[in-house]
Amino acid sequence: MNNQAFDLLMWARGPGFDIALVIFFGGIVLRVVEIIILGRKKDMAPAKGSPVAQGIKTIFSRSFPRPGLVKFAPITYIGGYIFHLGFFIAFLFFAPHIAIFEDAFGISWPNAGRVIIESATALAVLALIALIYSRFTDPVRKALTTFDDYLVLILSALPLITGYVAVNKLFGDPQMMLAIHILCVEALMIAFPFTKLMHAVSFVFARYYNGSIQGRKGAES
Amino acid sequence: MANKPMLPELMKTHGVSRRAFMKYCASLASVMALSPAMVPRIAEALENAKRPSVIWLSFQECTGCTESITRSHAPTIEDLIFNAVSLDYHHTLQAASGHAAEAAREQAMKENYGNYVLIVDGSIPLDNPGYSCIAGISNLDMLKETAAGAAAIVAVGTCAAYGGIPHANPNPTGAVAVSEIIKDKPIINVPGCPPIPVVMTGVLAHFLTFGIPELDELGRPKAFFGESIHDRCYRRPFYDKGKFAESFDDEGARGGWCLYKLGCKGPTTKSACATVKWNNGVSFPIEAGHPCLGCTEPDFWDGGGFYKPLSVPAGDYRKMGLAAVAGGAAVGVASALLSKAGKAKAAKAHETVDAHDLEK
Repeated sequence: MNNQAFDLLMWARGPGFDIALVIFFGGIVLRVVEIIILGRKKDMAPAKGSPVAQGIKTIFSRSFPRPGLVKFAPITYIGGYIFHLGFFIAFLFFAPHIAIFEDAFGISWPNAGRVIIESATALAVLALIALIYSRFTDPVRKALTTFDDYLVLILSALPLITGYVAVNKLFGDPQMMLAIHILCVEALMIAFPFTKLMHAVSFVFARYYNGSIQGRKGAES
Repeated sequence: MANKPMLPELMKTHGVSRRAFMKYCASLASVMALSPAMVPRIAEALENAKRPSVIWLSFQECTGCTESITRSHAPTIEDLIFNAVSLDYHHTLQAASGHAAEAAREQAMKENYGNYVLIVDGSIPLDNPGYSCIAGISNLDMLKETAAGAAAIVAVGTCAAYGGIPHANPNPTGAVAVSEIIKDKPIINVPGCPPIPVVMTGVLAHFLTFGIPELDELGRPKAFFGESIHDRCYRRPFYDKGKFAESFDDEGARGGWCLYKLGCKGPTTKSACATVKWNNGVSFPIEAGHPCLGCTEPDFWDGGGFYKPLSVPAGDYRKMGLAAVAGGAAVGVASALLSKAGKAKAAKAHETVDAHDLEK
């Protein structure tokens, strides 16, 4: 007898994951190698400041908003922080997720309890809703938003929502919901290297380049 | 004899009191998630139940299901319920063998045609009928022949219900479940490897009293297979707190913490193990310190490994990942060099334009 939910779950854990993994890692490495080899045009002028130090500093310093910007765009900043923190708490500190890293790389770390994981998930989803809302209501942001942006927002929300549903068994067959959750993550992995999701890797290069350009001119970044 | 109610007589000979019987009916009602108001109805129906003829066919199986049901501790009333049926054919339990045994089956079928209950344990091989025969009759032929006159079929154990272990990859005998062969009879699936005795007798008691129980989409009685083990597990608070056993002999394992990371399939397994338990309610696998294998679910044998957590990918993905990294790097280098070459070519082909050219 066939159990569609089980078959789908096993496909998601088996071939589905393999496909997503190949595209995810292959795509990321491809783009990073491209970025590194293409590099930037050599600046022949003598450096006034220290481009390397400023570049490295900028990788970290741009994680914090400049004075006044939180007030200027509160939804973007506060919503952005809550989403990123919530997403990474749910992703990295939920025991079943850590089990994947343990299986793949043999490393593990302490996990968080259900209250923390689920609060983080709920907050991250609420923050995402606020961010989508601001894209709809702010005319400037609406004009700047492309299909890619909405796709990325939805792809980021789905694993959080389906994971919450699967763990709490809110509705549907538990095997089916777990399968759907894993498939949503795989969709995110596949889209990752080719959409703005890639910022999770490329931000390092972008910030370094920005910082080093300023540093070369003797400016603080 | 076959049509006489058996239970009152059996209770008398075994010295079972009316009070004990009513207690059993109450526990049955609670196990089957029926209202307490149904208890007198269960008692009445059981007392007046006619002794139905039961034919038990064992195909590709390990006899674990029969072992399980005969481990109902005598003289419990569950045992009496089992005795209340006329088990006319069961080749492991009956004294007769060979053609004499087959004659008993044929006689029972003839006398109760259209009314007997057929219990099947074990899967049926389709690749070659010779893989499993009883008295020279292939499992497929025997099932078809016996099912034709059955009132209902109870597929006991995961092998009969879903193909079970014989059906596991690569399924060398082409084993299938009863429901893949018989399409025109009501089939109640009672999966488990083996099923819990009280679940088997409970389903039988339900069939005797109220007919076919309400079934889920996998043909299982909802009363026993309605909830996941995870939702009813006494270790669930540890899962919620994030306390997990990491190995079979660490602090967590000794402290009775959640077994998710050791491969427990409780979250995706529906069974009454965590509530009804085994051996007269003594324990169940998780209580004994072992993760749930998910044996009441189809294809549980091919779930990616009993000791792999549910969240972990089931395939051999490491090689694929390394190949992807190498392939991605190669394509990245090629793509970047191609871009550089294109840039150099464009620079070389660049024609300088001065003011005179523009005036032309």
